[in-house]
Amino acid sequence: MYDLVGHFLLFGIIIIGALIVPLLIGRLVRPKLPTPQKDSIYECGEPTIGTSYVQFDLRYYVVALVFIVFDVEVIFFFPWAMIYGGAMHLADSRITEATRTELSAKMLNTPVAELASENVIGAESAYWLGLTGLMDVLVFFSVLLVGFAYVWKRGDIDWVRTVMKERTQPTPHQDLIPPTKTPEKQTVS
Amino acid sequence: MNFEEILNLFIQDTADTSVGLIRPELILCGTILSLLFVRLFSIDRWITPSWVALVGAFVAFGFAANDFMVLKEAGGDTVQEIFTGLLIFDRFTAFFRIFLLLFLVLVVTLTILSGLPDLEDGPDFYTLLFGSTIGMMVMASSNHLLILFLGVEMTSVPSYVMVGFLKGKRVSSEASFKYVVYGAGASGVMLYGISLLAGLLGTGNMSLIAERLQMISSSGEPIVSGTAISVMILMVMVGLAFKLSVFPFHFWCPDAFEGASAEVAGFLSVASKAGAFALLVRFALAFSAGDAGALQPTFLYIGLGVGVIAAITATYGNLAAYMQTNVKRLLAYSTIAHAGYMLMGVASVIVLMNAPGEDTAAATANATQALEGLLYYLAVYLFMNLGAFAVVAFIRNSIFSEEIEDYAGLISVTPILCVCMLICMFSLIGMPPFGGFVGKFMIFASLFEAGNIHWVMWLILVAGGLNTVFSLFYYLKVLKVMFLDPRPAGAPDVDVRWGSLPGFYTMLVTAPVVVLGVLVQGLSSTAQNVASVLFP
Repeated sequence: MYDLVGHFLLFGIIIIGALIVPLLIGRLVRPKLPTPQKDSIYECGEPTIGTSYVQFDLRYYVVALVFIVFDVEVIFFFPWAMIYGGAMHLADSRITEATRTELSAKMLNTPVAELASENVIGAESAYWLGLTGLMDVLVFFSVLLVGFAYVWKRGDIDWVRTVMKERTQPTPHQDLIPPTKTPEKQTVS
Repeated sequence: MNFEEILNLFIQDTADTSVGLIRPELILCGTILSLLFVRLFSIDRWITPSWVALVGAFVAFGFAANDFMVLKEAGGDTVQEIFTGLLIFDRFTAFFRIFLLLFLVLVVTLTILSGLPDLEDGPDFYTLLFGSTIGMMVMASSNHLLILFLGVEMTSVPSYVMVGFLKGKRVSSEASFKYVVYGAGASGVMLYGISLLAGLLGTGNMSLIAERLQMISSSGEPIVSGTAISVMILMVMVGLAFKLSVFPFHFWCPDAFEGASAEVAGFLSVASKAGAFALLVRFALAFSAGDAGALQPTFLYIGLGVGVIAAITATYGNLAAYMQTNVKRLLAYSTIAHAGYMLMGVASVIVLMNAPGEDTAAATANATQALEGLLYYLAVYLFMNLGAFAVVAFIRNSIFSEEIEDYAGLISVTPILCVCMLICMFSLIGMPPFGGFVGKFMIFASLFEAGNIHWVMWLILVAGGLNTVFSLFYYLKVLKVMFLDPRPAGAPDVDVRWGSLPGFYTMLVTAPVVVLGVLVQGLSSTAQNVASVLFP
């Protein structure tokens, strides 16, 4: 315990020292010749414009959100693909007995040596397993596709959304929203 | 059993039994899809999404009611584990499905009448509403710790969005954000508790928890102490307490209700509480069912702890409601207080089930009574709280305000809404001729019964009684403003008359509050029938 704490303490002291010493050396050694050009903030060679605290476009969030939804859903395909591939291979009745045992062991997550002979998966049940899995994933994926089509139809993935059309329509609950001044849209070049 | 047999059993169980028993959920899923299709193919020019939603909710309600009737006709204690034991189907599940779907039908009707989502946002809103309801139905039928978590999350995530649904309204976004942050914290703690519990017991199946816990505690050298087990159980309960807005986890509730529209607030205040109570009862009975053996004192103290928290919640909600000037905020604190009363019922169920001594028959009978009280209270609470929020929504549509002071003298312009508000509020207080009284009486009776086992329950009963008196004043404050104060000159008119649809709707929702206060027998015997299935 004390040993561990001592090491952490030592480590901390060395870190702080290793930070301070170069800064100190630099301060003592470097020449001091400030010019306005040197004092200005460096930003990739471009002259800086304004503050970095600007409102940037909300569209980034929408795209990021839609991306995350569909990206995460893909995760569910990986375990399915593993099982489906194995099952379809097993469903082939022409494979040798040794291959069948090996594939079954892989599917049931047991070592080949420990696999009892009655647990070797037959061609027909492997076919049913694969078919069930395929149906499940088709339902899952078609529901996803409906969601995707809906998002598309709503225009949430159009980069330039037709804002003018919405402006002309009355917004819902206009009566409930206190009138606020919409901030001028700022753009960053 | 070899692999082929297991596979065949699995396919048979899923296709022949399980899928047929979740028809209401599947219909709701189908409704969500058709809502999206309606928008996708521009059918919404002819049929508005709200009517699609109403039809879907109604059909699902019909199937749920049919399931319940079939179960009731069959008699006996049919308990079916479906989807390899992940969900459970019994009268309790069927009862809560009816409850939630009836409520869904009423809420969808309310949104049609008050025009909450416009044509543009209709599919979005109803998708969220239906998704949340499916989550609650999963909560009510969960039989596995993983499904418990899944149900809570499925309910919460759409609710976060619904709270922030009034786009462009600052309060609404703020409320939604607060709700998300608290929700994430509570879910994290709950997930930690679930992983500890499932890791210790080697199973997540709730019907095995009691048995495994006893196995652990009765072996010569207990692996973990009773304290550690109660910490795990309490951590799971934190997540549920958040959904119930129980005392230390209630902060989101007033803000969320103030920011959300009255319809959404009404939905959250009733439906998500009902789902969470169903889940809490299932979870509480999972660990304390049967003979608890050496852990019996631990469970008794957990029950007492829940009771004390319930008393604090009720007191806090009632005291904080005094200072409110916004009706929805006031109703939010009233919701917190009512969660406290109902939690007292759960506490007495746990205490009664873990009574020292050998008389299990008496303990079971008493616990059934306590649960019956809780179910009755929930049923009445549905109508009285929805009634109050519906009145707030209809008044908001006319006067664009939810401040109590703007309600002055409304009796002169809209007597029907004012009278319905009066009935709902008197019922919320627990005045005798209304349903709220019967529910409260049943809960207090079970508290008294539990007091025979431990005297702390009598103190909680006293706290509950005092709270009823406290709550009188703030409800009456609203009623006084509505009925006795003069209507200021130039105040906007409220155009809800006797014959109009909103007026009719409010009467329809308020009527059961009166009926359930007078005709107790029907619902009470159903509730008892439902409660008894959990105590084999």
